[in-house]
Amino acid sequence: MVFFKSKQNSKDVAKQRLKNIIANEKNNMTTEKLDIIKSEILHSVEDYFTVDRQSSEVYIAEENKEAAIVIILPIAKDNV
Amino acid sequence: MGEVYVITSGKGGVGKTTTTANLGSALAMMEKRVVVIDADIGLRNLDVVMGLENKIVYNIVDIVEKRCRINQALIKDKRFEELYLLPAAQTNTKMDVKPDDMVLLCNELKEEFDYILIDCPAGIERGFENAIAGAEKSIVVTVPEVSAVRDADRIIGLLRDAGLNEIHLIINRVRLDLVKKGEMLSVDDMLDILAINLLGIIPDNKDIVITTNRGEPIVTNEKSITGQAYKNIAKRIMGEDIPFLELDIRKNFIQRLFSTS
Repeated sequence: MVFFKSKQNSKDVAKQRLKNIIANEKNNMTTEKLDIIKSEILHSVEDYFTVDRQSSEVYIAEENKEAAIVIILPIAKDNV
Repeated sequence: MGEVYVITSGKGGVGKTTTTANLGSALAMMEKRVVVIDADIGLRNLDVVMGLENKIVYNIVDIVEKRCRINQALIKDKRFEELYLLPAAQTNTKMDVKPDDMVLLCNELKEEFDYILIDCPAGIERGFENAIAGAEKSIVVTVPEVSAVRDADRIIGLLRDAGLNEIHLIINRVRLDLVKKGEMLSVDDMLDILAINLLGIIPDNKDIVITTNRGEPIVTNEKSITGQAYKNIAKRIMGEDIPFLELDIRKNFIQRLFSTS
C-alpha cells in the first residue's frame, strides 16, 4: 500500500536507487559506512573546533570517472 | 533452536531473492525472529531487494575472516523488529567462504533466531555448496518454463546427494490465464515431473515489480494476491495447514506438507 502514497513513479525510485548503489559500489562504500567515517572525523576535529554537526556532510563525489571523498565540516559560529 | 532453510533453484532469475526477502518479512510479521542470509558473494542483491543497501558496514566475509562479530554484521530491517539481514560481500568471491564456515555460522545463528533463510546463488558450484552446507531444509523455487524446471530437477538431485531430504517446491510466476488455455505448464505438470512437496504457488503479478523497484516487501500490501501467497507459505513453514490459492487447479489435491516433521 505504501506506494500509493508517493507521487514518484516506482521506476524513478528504482533508477535513483540504482545510481546510488553503483556509485557507492565502485568505492565499496555505503551510506552507513560514510556515517561512521563522518563520526570518526568529527570526533578528531572536535578536539580543536566546535563543528556545526547539523550542516556537516560527507559524501563521494564523482567526475570524469574519478572519485573523491568530500568532507564539509562548518565551524560553529561561536567558535570563530 | 532455529530452523535453517536454503532457498535455491539452479537457474538464475526465477525469484529466489524475492522469495527469501518476502518469506523473511512474512515470518517476521508473525513475530518470529528471522535472519536472511545473502550467500551470493560477489554479486549481492538481497540487500537491494529489501531496501537495506545503504546500511551495510560489515558482511559475511568479515565474519568468516574474523574482522567483526556476527551481531556487528547483522542489519536490522526497516519495517520488522525481528528481521535481520546478513549481507554478502561485494568485492570477494565465493571461494573466500568455505562450507565449514557456513555450518559454524548457521549453528550460532540457530541459537538466536527461529528461522534462518539462506538465499542461494544461481549455479551448482561453490556458492551452492556454501549455501546448502549449514541448511537442514530446502526450498526449491522454479517458474513454469522448461529450462527452469529442468534445473530444478537437477538441483533436487544435488540436494538429496548432500543429504538434504526435506525439499519443498515454490512455483513462481504462474499465469492462470495461460494455464487455462493450456499454454503454460500447470502446477500439476510440474509436480508430476519434480515429485516433491508443494509449498506454494506465486501468481505472476505487476505488484511485485513495483515493490521491488522501491525495495519494499510485497507482504505488507494487504490487497496483493502475491503478498497473500507469500504469507500463506510462511504459515505453512510454521506448520499451519493453509489451502492453496484458487490458482491451483489441481483437483483433490490434499498433501501433507510437513509429512517428514
